[in-house]
Amino acid sequence: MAKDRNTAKTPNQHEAPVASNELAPPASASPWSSKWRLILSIAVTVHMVAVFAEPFRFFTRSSQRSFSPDAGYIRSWLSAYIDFAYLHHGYFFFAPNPGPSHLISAQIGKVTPPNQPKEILIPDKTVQWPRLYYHRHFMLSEFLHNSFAPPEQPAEAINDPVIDQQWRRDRELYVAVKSSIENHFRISEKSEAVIVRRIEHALPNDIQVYRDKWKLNDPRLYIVLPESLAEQTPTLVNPPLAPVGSPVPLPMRNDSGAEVVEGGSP
Amino acid sequence: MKPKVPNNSGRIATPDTQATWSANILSYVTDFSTAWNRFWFTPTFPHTLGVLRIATGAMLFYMHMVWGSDLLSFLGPDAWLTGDVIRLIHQGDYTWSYLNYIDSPPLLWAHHALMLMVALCFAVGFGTRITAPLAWFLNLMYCHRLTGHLFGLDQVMMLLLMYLMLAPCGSVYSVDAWLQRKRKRAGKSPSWWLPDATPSSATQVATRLMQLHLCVIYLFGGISKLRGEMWWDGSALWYALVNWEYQSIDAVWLGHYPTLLGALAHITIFWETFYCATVWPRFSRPWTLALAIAVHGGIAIGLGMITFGLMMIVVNLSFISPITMRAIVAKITRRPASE
Repeated sequence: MAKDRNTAKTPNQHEAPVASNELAPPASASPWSSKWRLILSIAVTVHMVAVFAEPFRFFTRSSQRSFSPDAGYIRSWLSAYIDFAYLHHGYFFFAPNPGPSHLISAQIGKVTPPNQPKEILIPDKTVQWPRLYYHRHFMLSEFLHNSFAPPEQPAEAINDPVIDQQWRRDRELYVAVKSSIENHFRISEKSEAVIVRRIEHALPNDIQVYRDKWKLNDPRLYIVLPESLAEQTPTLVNPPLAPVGSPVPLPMRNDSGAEVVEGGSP
Repeated sequence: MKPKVPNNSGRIATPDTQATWSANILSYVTDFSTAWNRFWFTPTFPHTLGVLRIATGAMLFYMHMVWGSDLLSFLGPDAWLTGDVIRLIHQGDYTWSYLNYIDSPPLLWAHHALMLMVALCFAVGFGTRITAPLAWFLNLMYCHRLTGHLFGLDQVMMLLLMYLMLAPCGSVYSVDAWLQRKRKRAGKSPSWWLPDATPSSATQVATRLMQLHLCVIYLFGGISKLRGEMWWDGSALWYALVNWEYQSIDAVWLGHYPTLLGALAHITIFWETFYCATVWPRFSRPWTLALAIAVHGGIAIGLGMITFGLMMIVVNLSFISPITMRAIVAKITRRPASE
């Protein structure tokens, strides 16, 4: 005889894992009135729309548009709630492709031969422990990289005040973030001479690892990223860190020949 | 003879067929309403959420111990990102925290001590009517202040805290439960401050929100990978394994087995994309959850994100029935399930 799926059972019965509603008393046992249930139904629906709205908007981004108008409309309608409740996430974990890491290199002190300035790399597994503490620093270096906006006004901004305004805001934020990090180094290292650089750690392909015997932290994989479009293309870091300029960078390509693109991190 | 009325499809509808349509629509609405109420409001035991509370509280305490190990570098007047910079970043949005305005180290330390105390009380289930919403609110303020240092762990922690505070998660496996039992033994009436471990609709609402939120995370996590060619050509896991900054175990040797890496990448995208469908049916649920444990266990061990991987496994436990959870806990602790 078939059992009623909603019949309450004693809690100490051993059962195979099943969804929570299947072993609880029937809906009629709910102590909440229908009016109260209606109010809560509206609340949970609005909340779930808010949970959905941000990743949906994030997903509709393209090279042509910052996001689709319908996605932007839903998001803007619930902005206050989404922002304050910390629901503004895209959930792009290692997507669309796993990408290179971005680090911060800080040069502390001046070059006064024979003394070399101190170099600090963030994050650094050998210094930052436990792993969560290390990861907090790793996220900071990724955040600095993601905030980057070049000092040169983009060509499209000349005739488009919206793009111009966005670029000015992005640039202001990047300068503020970088200055704050530099200031932290000045205080913690007790030195006025601090130069912060963004470093990209490219991912080696299987040929580089297996045939050419590169290690994952091979110096040839570290690239100093330019701070402006006027600078040279990214340059290799050969320890100690080379000034932005000379050596020709390795092409950052995967084994299928495609350029390595940046990936989201959890 | 009955009068004939033309309907929209051009066919002739009799009052009988109209009545059938009305009855069908009414039946659909009634069935939908019943199913909706059963899904959201069926009273449920709190044992699953009790276990999730312990795990979440313990992780919250650990997270804030780590923040506290270098508190002023994260929150102080000369922090990596100062309160002024965070205010600038969030200018025009609704991400606000009073911590953006606090520079005084003694005040920051006092506040942090409060946070640690609340996290500990929440983990052991003491005063959960207060400590559950307080844990959510305080951690939210930290999240809003600490922009630039956050990642998936913080997202999943806020998810858990937000929904756990809606339910009587402190009514089992807690100091509150022990105090409640003590009151009952002494013949005192139950106190509202000490939640009862009876089936409640609040527990069901919190559980459902948690489950659906998790489905949204996996859906977008999955479809975002569909855009990437590396997830299709099978090289994605190679590039995850050779990321020196993430790596915690050297598994580069797996690159000698490209078929295996390709299969794992494809399993990951299919599992993640269809999680929101396969986790609900009874027969596919164990497989879906087993894959979740495997994927997040792999991330925890191989990619150095033990905290994130662990908490993703924890939130997946929301799909375990409270009855089953209670039996598992009883077996592990070797105590009667009634305690």
